[in-house]
Amino acid sequence: MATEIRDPERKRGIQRTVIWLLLLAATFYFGFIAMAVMRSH
Amino acid sequence: MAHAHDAHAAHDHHDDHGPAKGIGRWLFATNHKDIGTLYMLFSLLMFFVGGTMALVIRAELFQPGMQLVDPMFFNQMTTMHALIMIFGAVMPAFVGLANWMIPLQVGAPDMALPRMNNFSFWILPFAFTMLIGTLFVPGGAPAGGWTMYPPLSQQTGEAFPMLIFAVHLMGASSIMGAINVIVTIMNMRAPGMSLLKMPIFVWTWLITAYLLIAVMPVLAGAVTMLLTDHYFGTTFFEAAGGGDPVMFQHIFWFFGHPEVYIMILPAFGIVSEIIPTFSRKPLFGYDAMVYATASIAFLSFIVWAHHMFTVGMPLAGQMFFMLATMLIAVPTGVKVFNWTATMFKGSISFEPPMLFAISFLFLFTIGGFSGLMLAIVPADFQYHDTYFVVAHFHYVLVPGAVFSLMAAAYYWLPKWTGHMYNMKLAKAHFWLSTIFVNVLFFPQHFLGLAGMPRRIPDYSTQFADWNMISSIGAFGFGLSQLLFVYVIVACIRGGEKASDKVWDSGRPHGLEWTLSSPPPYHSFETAPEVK
Repeated sequence: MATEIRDPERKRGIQRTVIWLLLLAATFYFGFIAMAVMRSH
Repeated sequence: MAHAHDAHAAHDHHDDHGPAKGIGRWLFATNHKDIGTLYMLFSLLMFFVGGTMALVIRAELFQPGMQLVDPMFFNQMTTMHALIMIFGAVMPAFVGLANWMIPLQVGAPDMALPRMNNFSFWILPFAFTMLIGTLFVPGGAPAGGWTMYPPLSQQTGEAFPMLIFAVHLMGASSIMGAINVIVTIMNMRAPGMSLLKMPIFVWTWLITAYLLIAVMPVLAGAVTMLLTDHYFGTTFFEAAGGGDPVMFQHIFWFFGHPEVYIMILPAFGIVSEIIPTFSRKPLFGYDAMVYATASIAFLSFIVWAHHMFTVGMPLAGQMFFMLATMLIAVPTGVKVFNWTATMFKGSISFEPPMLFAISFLFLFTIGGFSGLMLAIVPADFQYHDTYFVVAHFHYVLVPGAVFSLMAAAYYWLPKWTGHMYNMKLAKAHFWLSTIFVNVLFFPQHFLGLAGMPRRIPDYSTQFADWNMISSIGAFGFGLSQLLFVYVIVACIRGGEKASDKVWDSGRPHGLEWTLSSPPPYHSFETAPEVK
């Protein structure tokens, strides 16, 4: 069974970090595609 | 640095439920130790699959002329060997080590996101089954090189969508793994463990994980655009439609160069753990090591076009990328200096992990120096796409990354299994590997300087001698790795009991050594306090 994290503050911290990291990854993915779109004629 | 209080007591007082029984333990694994083991076993399997492909390549190159395989299949082997070794062997092995060691080293009970951890591992067998499955579809496996440059990669047959999907899956797995590592390190450290008190392996992985999150989506974006060019009529990289194939190369290497550091920064962390233990001295310049790692990671983002000097670029661009690349030698030099200074006047002993770490130090530095040679623009025009490049990156990746993985396995295996392994056989494995890896790759420098191109199944007779020696080295190196497997399997099955500190005569340092060998299935349920 997975170890549950019970401390709500730590849980929030984890959620916040995950969201920021997902946003970072999405920015690079869509950012590079957007740059390629802008560069193509 | 780290002192654990009542670490043993902490894991003696909870309801200790062990692992699940049967296959379910592995299929539904959420325990970081189980997932770490899965990653490492998977990477070992892929190491042998990719290694067998390397032996096909070296067997064909044993002498000039076409002997064993047709040229198309040879190209499939070079492409698949690279993809499997990079994404299937080296990266998952480091993720496996991260899974096993980061929670133990930061005093956490598990990774922060254990269910996602399971998912990020189990994606991989599907991705690689699909990738290896391309060998059996009409048109064969991808053969345009692991870089997938268009327009060549667009000529791939039925394997094309499978390749793209597999790369997406590998990327998703890596990103999830990296998120887990960062979240664990940032949120799950034991009380008192400030960032600059973290073990150096944890630091190198933290920085590596940021690199992964930044560049794996770039690779995913590049292959997504390859896919839309192939099936949906876009022309991102198709000159006929106004696109630019060179743009793919820029995007690919924006991912590709940091990828090199993704495969080497955790290796630096491992070596930085091992050398102090067996030199019986603290790591020289801990802070400098951390800043050097961060500097290498930053510089890795601004050097990508050194892979493309021969494509053509303005002189200012050539100068910038040449000088920025050379700049990486500074923080790397800091690291090599610090490892040497750690050993200086130390009471050194030569157990298998230390032997591999010292070998890493010498042989990785050879790879670093040949990298500096390749960074020089006019020289690169001569060396580009020759065996000199092959020799360079194999020195970085085999006696570099792979040796560090072997060092890590020999360092932490007694902690993981609770048994000591056969030291004599491990040392024999070290000497055979070190000798054969040089027989295999050093002659490739001479071949490259003499002008032998890479990714070619046949060659002029002037290259025959060094190719034969290189192929003998390849088979010697490959066979030596069977010894590695034997030592690991024998250690898992039994052996002399390992103590908690394992390397009692050395100077092992960190929270993982405060736990029993093997550590309890659930460790650090009550966080240790670090002073």
